Amino acid sequence: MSDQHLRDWHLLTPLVGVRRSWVVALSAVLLLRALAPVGATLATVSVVHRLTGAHPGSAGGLSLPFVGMVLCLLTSQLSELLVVPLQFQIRREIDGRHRRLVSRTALSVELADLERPEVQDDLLIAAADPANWTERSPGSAAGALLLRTSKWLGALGAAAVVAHYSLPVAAGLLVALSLQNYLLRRQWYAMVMVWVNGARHLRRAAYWIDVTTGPAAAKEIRLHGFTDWVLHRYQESVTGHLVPFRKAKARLLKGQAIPFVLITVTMTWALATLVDGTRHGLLKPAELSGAAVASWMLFTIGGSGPEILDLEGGKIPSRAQRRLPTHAPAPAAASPAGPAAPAITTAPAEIRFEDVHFSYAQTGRPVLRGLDLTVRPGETLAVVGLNGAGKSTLIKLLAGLYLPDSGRVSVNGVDLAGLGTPARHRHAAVVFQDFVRYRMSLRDNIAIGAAALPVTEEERERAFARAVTEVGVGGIADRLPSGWDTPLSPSAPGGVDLSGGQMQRVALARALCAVHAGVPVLVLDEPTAHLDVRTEIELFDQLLAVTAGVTTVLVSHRLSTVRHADRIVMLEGGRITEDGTHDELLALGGRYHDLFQIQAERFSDVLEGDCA
Amino acid sequence: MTRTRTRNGTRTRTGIRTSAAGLGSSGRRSRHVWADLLLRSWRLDRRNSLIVLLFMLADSAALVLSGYGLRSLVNSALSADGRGTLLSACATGTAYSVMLLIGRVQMEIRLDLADRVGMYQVDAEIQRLVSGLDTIEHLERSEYLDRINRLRGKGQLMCESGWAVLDAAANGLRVLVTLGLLATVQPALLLLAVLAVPALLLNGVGQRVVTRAAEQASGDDRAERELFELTTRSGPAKELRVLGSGDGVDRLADEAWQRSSRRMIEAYWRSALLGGAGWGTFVLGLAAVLGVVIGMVADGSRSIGDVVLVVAMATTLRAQFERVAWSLSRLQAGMVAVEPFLWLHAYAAPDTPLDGAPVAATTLPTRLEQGIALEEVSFAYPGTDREVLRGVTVALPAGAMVAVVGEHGSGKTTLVKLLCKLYEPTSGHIAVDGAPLSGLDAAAWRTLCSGAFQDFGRYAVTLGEAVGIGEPAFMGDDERVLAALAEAEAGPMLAGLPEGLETPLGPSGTDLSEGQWQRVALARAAMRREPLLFVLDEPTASLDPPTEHAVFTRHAEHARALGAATGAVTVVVTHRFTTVRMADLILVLRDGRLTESGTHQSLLALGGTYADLYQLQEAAYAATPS
Repeated sequence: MSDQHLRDWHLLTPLVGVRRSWVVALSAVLLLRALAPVGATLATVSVVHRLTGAHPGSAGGLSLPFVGMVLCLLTSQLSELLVVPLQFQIRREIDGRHRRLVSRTALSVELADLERPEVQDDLLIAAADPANWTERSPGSAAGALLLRTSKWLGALGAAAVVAHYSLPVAAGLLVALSLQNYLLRRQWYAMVMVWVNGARHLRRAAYWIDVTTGPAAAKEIRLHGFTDWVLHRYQESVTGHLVPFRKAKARLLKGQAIPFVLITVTMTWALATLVDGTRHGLLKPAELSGAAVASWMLFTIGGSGPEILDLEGGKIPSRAQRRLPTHAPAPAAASPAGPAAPAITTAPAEIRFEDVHFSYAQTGRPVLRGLDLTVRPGETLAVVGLNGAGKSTLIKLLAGLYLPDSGRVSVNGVDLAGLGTPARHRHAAVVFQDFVRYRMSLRDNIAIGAAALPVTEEERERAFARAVTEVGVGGIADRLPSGWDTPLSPSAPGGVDLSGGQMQRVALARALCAVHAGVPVLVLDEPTAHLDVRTEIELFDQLLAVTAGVTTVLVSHRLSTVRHADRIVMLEGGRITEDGTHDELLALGGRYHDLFQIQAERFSDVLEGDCA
Repeated sequence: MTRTRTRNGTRTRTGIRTSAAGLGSSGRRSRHVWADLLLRSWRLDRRNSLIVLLFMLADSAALVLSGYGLRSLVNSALSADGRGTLLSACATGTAYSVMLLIGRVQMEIRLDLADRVGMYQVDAEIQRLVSGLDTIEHLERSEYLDRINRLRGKGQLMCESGWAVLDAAANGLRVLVTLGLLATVQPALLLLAVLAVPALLLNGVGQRVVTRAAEQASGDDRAERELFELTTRSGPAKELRVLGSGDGVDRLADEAWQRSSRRMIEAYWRSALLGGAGWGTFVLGLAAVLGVVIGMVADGSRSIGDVVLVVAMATTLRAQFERVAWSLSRLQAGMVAVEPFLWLHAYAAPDTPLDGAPVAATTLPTRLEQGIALEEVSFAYPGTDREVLRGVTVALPAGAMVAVVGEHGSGKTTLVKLLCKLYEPTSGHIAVDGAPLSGLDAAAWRTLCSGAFQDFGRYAVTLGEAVGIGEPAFMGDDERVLAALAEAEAGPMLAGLPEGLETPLGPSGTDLSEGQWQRVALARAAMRREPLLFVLDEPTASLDPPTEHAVFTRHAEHARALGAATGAVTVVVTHRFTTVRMADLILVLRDGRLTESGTHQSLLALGGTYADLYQLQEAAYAATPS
């Protein structure tokens, strides 16, 4: 797989986007941090040397190296402190860009691709969720790589000091360090890869923690009492991660014997050689301590450490992000819109499905088989059918979210397949069953319906005002703590959680806002499912009045609502089987008639006997 | 009001020995927690715990050895014969090597202990405690939710902070050793310890600055995560594309990210400045002291070996103080979770210590004779004044099918939650066959309940599991699961799934439609065969007419059969009056009050709200629409 070839240096590419001065500052500070102790050692040697050397008691010669020593100590100290904010701000910068890159990729791919499990998986991994401590990010990887580089430079600096006194010792130490780092890196890599491969278990464990402690399952976990089962699964996930990881860690710990012996022997040899050299006059006694300390520094500064976890761990989200385009290629660039784009947004619009076939790639099950349907300009068309008949699929095709396998969907005569992605959706305002609750204010939750449309600010305002009046959102706003500015998210400060019915009205207002700003088609998927009887009836009457002249497609199981549509079609077996007004279809005595009777006849007294 | 609490004795074994709230200072209680966590590590793995402890000591010993070794190296180089050279070289080399080894290994072993104790024990215990809370009140209060959020998945961190306590002590010891060594040369060098005080203090201030900023930034962090998820999940993707709102969402996410970044970066810089001031002072002080010692050597009153020792030790002293500060910061990081952990324990068991004797299981009814009675029941959501239920008094007779109707916000769902003991009434009583519901163990009572809520869960498990968890005891009993699915009219759905019961659900598997998820929830509810209370809170909003009809008819039959067999009460909340009219008892709620109750006929005759709403819907289905 191509994604395996993510080389270390790739991790540095995100640094290109970061402000150059920051990167230079961090590199400099890391380098200073690595070299300052070496400098301090040199200065110390010089001090001691002068104390014992040719001019005992000459304070003048002493002050310069002493000041140098103090400066080095200070530099070492301050660079240690400066690394933290610099590293943090660069990491945040890189990770922020990375997350925007991922979200923009997700926003740009075809819906059908986005819905594929492997794409969803990759998005989950690519997210590098900052709240999850187990996930390393591209930013932490870049930092780790810089750190590793600075370590080598620091080690080379220390080696240079030693080389000044004894070249063989310096060479020997560098060889030992390289060998040690090679061993350590292999050991760490083996362990980290086990961790990386087990990360999905950790993600799964985090999911179980959500189930047991989060709000989504709070009621059911108590009602059905499945805590123990979930905890069992949690333990399994933890075990799935920990057992192989602990084995790998045990190997790593056992493996430490080799570098330990290696370093002990090398250091003993190096120290003995240096002492020997001193006795033979190659180094001054004062220089001996400096050379000894520098020898040790080679290992304290240059030794590989846990940064490999950041390095390898940070590659995971990068890899997933790079994999995304292969699973989900970005759709062809927006086609030369030409005269086509305005044509689909001309009101009132006509929509035409011609011999449309569609099946989901995942299951291969054909959903639409030769669907022919025309929605006339300005009419309200209701689509009725059983669960799974393909009503939601039809809506997605209508909105240009899917393209047909064969056949064509056109708006005002323009084939949607010929349009690029943003343009392809511009003709429809849809209230989906699972409409979105934006983490925004009540006002923005509605205004966002028209935010992306090419209209003036004034028109936007007018569309907003009309929409909220028509759906009666003002009543909701009045009861909220900060009125229109109240965030519609319980986790936001001062935010609230609207009830299903209230939220449904907000979603309706959002779509109407788009319609009033010029979108010619309104699509409603079960728009009243969460409303109570009175509200449903009132609201629907209102909707009919408001949408007069707007091409409207309504999908609903509530046939009391559906009957008011200008025309009703029955979707069954992937095509339209019945088509007509409520009265016509009732008279036809077909499928629609049966469905309506099921709901209606319970109001007659026929059923009474059934239940007694 | 006394509450009996038992959870099959599961938590008594692993429970942390913390006493109830109000006993002792929080510092003392934190020490309790840390001591307990360390004790758990010890019990779990004595060998490795011992190794960590030994390493902590060995590290200090190696430090001393390296100092002496260096001095003797220099001295042996000055002596004429080379005797002792190899010995000192070997001792020094080994000391260095041991320090390197310990630096690499000790943390890994500690983390391993923290992994095991934290994930297997502490995290599991936190989950057990949270999901074992009798009510779901904690979800309604943001101060509780915040605490739980700070606690989730933090077991490992807490255990690590337990070790950090010891580590801080060991590092302190190392500082003392170093100072001791220095004092052998010149007692005045002990003054260096005084210089470290302001540095450590400022360090602590910087740490708090960062912690506070992290708390303040958490809102933006949450916002960014929520918005990011909107852009990547397939559900919202439809609307984001159609409305073109994706860019706006992405921009908001970016703004939240930048705000959080700015806040944190500023805090880190301030902390670095504070640290710089403190440690800079320390270094300068150190330089002054070194200058004095150097002066003394220049006078010839100290040997070069002494100077070497002093310089080597004094310069590492700074690093050692920093390690003290570092372990203190790890301790601080753990403290963030320890506070909510203590809160959770106190909140979960206000009256009894966790290791108290298990309470004898309450005898539970096996059938209902009289039914469930509500007396003057009122309820306001925690932290609010508005009563969503006000003085509701009604008897739900054994064996009855009860329908609850009312407009939005009238308190229907709340009533159901109270019956399931997901909340305790603010005032008033609920009695089951005359016995107060408040006296029953919540978990035990709920083994006698089943049902489905409006906001059912969509679990990322297999279909078989998503249904099976409705009655965990019968998990994996395919026959029972299939029967439950049939009950929920989910046969056709099952047939369409490639791997049947083994099909993984959710975004990474097969994502179901609204109506399909609803059927899964209904099937889950059907797993428990003979509940004494069965609740359905608007569970059919997305089902097509034949399915909805079949589900309701089936449930009506069931309610009657169950009612006859065990006196079970079925409570249905719905807007569909065709279902409502099948009920034996209809409750009409309005603004939290029970305004009407009776049978369909009697309520129609009454001509109140019910008749009004019924006729509205009837008219909608009339032969000629009004």
